[in-house]
Amino acid sequence: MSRRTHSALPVHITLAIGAALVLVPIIWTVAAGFRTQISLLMGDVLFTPIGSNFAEVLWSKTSDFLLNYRNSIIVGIASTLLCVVVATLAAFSLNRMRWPAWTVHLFLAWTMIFHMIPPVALASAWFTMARAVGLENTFTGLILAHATLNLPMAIWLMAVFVRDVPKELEEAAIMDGADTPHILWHVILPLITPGLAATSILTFIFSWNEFAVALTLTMKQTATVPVAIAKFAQDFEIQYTQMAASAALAMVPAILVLLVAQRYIVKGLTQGAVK
Amino acid sequence: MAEVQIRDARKSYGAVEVLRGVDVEVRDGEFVALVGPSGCGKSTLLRMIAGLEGISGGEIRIGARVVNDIPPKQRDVAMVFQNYALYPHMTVAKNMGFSLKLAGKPKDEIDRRVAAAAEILDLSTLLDRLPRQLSGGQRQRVAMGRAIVRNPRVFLFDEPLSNLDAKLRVQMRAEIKALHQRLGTTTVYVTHDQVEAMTMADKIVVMRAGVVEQVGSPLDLYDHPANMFVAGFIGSPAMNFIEGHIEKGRFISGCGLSVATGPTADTARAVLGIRPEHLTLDPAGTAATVVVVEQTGSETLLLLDMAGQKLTYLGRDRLPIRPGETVHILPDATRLHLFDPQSGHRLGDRPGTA
Amino acid sequence: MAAAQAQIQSSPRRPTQVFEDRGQRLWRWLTFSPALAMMLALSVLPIANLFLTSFQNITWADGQQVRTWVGLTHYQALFSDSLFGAGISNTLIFAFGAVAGQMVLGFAMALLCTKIVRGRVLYRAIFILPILIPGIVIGAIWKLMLNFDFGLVNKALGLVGILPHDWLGSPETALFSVIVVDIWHWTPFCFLLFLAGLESLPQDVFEAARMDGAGAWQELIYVTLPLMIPTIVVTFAFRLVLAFKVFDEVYLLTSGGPGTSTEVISFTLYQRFFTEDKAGYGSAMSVTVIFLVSLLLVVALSARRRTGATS
Ligand SMILES: Nc1ncnc2c1ncn2[C@@H]1O[C@H](COP(=O)(O)OP(=O)(O)OP(=O)(O)O)[C@@H](O)[C@H]1O
Ligand SMILES: [Mg+2]
Repeated sequence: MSRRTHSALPVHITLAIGAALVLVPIIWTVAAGFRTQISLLMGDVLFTPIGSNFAEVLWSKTSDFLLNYRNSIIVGIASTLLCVVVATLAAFSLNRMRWPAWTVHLFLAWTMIFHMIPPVALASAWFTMARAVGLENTFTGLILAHATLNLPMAIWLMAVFVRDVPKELEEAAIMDGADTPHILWHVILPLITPGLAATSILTFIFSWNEFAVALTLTMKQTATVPVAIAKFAQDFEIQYTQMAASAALAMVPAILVLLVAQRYIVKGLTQGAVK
Repeated sequence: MAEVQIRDARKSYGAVEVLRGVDVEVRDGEFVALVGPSGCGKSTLLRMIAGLEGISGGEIRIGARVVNDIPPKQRDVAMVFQNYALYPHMTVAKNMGFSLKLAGKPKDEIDRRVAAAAEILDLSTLLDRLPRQLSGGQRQRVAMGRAIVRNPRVFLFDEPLSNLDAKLRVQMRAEIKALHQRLGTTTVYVTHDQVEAMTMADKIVVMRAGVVEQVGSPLDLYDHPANMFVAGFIGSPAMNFIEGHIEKGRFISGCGLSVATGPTADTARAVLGIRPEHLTLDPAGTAATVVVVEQTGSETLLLLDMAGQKLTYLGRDRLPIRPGETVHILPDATRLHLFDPQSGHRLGDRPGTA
Repeated sequence: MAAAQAQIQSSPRRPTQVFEDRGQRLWRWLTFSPALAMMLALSVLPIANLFLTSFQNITWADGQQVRTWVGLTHYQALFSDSLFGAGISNTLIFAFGAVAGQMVLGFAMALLCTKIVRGRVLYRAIFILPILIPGIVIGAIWKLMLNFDFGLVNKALGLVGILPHDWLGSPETALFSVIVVDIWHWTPFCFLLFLAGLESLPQDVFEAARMDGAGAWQELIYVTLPLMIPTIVVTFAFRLVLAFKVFDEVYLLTSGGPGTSTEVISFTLYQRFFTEDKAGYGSAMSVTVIFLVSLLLVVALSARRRTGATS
């Protein structure tokens, strides 16, 4: 026992260093958003925070960042809704509707392969297809693409949660006279709500973060936040402080979600990989 | 209410045949218990009646209808599951009213019928609780309540008491029996506890490995087991089996036991079955050594060794006997059962109980 | 696969397992078809499209697409494409280097975290953060951090007397820097999975080991690690798959440069398609990558089946 209390201090110190390594770059970047370009170059430790970078990013005539933010929210919410609804139905179907084993295995193997393919490899084909049906530079195209990209993970996650609902409850409902939609709505859905929340949050975050496909399927009017941030780095004269400010703004959803729904994120991330 | 007729019912999973031609007749209002060792297909048969499993062959009738191709919800049967299967997110009242709600019954009718069922089951004060806030016995009652609100034609129970402790089990046994007497609904009740079957059922169906071994009233099975399996399965403690042969109207065993069997054909090999409670201590009997003595207060159980033959004796009296002592055992000659050792079938119908 | 399918379908129809009426068959299809349709329309179809395009050259004349059949030309060209070769080797180095680092660091942090009681939730919250941040933002953060002039990294190293270095701009350190950034990004993910795994280990085994007089190291090597192998394997596979897809950070930090030193496969693909507009050649490259990925999965799955059969 004494050994354990002895070793507690080094453990705490190591963990604190780890936490610092995670936090310092983030905090330093956010702080850079509040500096002037000169202050950043000088590297003063103490500086007077200014809001002009954020103001510039958000409200200047030449910046589309607010539009990008709105686009990201629209695409994120719509693709998340589409993705989790489709995934929940599929997870239920594959788990409980007695498909032949080969159907289930073939489908799941395909989702795995699909998940491993770099999205960039598909992006051009999607672009071609979107143009063929007139969906290029629309939200619909990007929403469909994001929902599809996240579908494998969402199906695996929801399959785990659906599997955890006891089969007997479903049978009890059948005996009570429930048809498939009743079972889904009144029995399965209420019991997988936490899992559904976890999956939705992760799906939203992944859509928010997605860059490669958004880059290829969007233009000025439909560009999402990551696309906008990437533009900064492409500029000949990089506006470092504004890039920092927009990076800080882009992290807001992540931080919000972490504050209010850490439990669900942990659930989603660990279930998805472990089961 | 309705009768249930099962004719040559078969069920296979792939190449494995789990039920191999089962015939059972349940009369209107009857309480039938399905018993048998684990894995013999009791649950499968019950679930086929319910409609939760397809029927591979044969025919199941509920009332006048063949239900082979009728979905569960149109069969008008209710089922109580082993671990209750209560909807964890619904209150007791919602659990009980769910089937009525699905059937599109108006709210006040649902409330009325739930209240009535709750009254019968003594659940009226618990209607707003969630299942996890209930004790095991209460959950059990809610599961029954969910079945009775619908007023179905048939009740199906799958080992409903096996998750309860011994005392509660006895109490719930009486409650289910009382409920059946009150409602008079046709009931099929699966259990592997033969005491439960004996005490509750009008009729018992003994199954083994996918076939029916015997059907009869509890006392019928006790008094006239059709074969060694049923004889050994029904009754507690289990029946003693002694190998020997029949010669000139007497059963003679290597262990020294010799009893009159009445007019029975001579056979080179036979098995004598005698229940522990049908052995008597009598100086005229055969000597046996006491191996173990178990006193329950009201009864005495002796494990005996009769020249290498193990025997169980059950007496109503408290006996001052110790292990190692010798006792003399005399079987009650009117309570003997004789079986063919090859087939296990009962030999003749004598000398069983008249 | 097709053969196996045909075999299953031609086998005599088994008796229905459950009672199934027309309504149920309908719902079976209704619940599955959206996912099936999405996967068919947005993964199978585009891949078929890529496959077709990989045998063609696409040019534009008067705003009209002109497709000419070129056979296997693009695939032959792949072999002599130094960028593609660099892309593959850099991706492999990147993936294995980064994932190895993440696994080791993540495991160490998770193990340490199990040793403390207070503050575990706080550390976990902090360590989760990088997982949730957009890759492009991580790129931005580290573009600032690694900046030659004002980056915090050079500043910090300056304190201990190391001269400033252009981490992203010099060929020797560019790939290494990108790997470090990826380690920063994804170590938390490994940490999280390992922590979940460690927390779910049966405690009595450790108590038994302690009773047997095992020290901390022995406990780790003989008890913890063997018990954690399933989690380690899964985490490794999961991370490796994602590491092969790396694009965002590279796009922002180095754009594949300097030279080809951080040219990863996703970036090569991107350039072929969108910078150089070589749809046919890019498709051939995509098809090859998809083929390699599928091969990897088949090998992994059959390896798992074999080990599953023996153990
Ligand atoms: N889905 C299935 N697939 C294959 N075999 C099954 C399936 N369900 C049940 N069986 C087999 O059918 C046989 C009968 O099972 P059943 O559940 O009816 O037994 P039981 O009599 O209820 O036993 P217990 O008393 O243990 O509940 C068992 O041997 C079981 O292994
Ligand atoms: Mg059973």
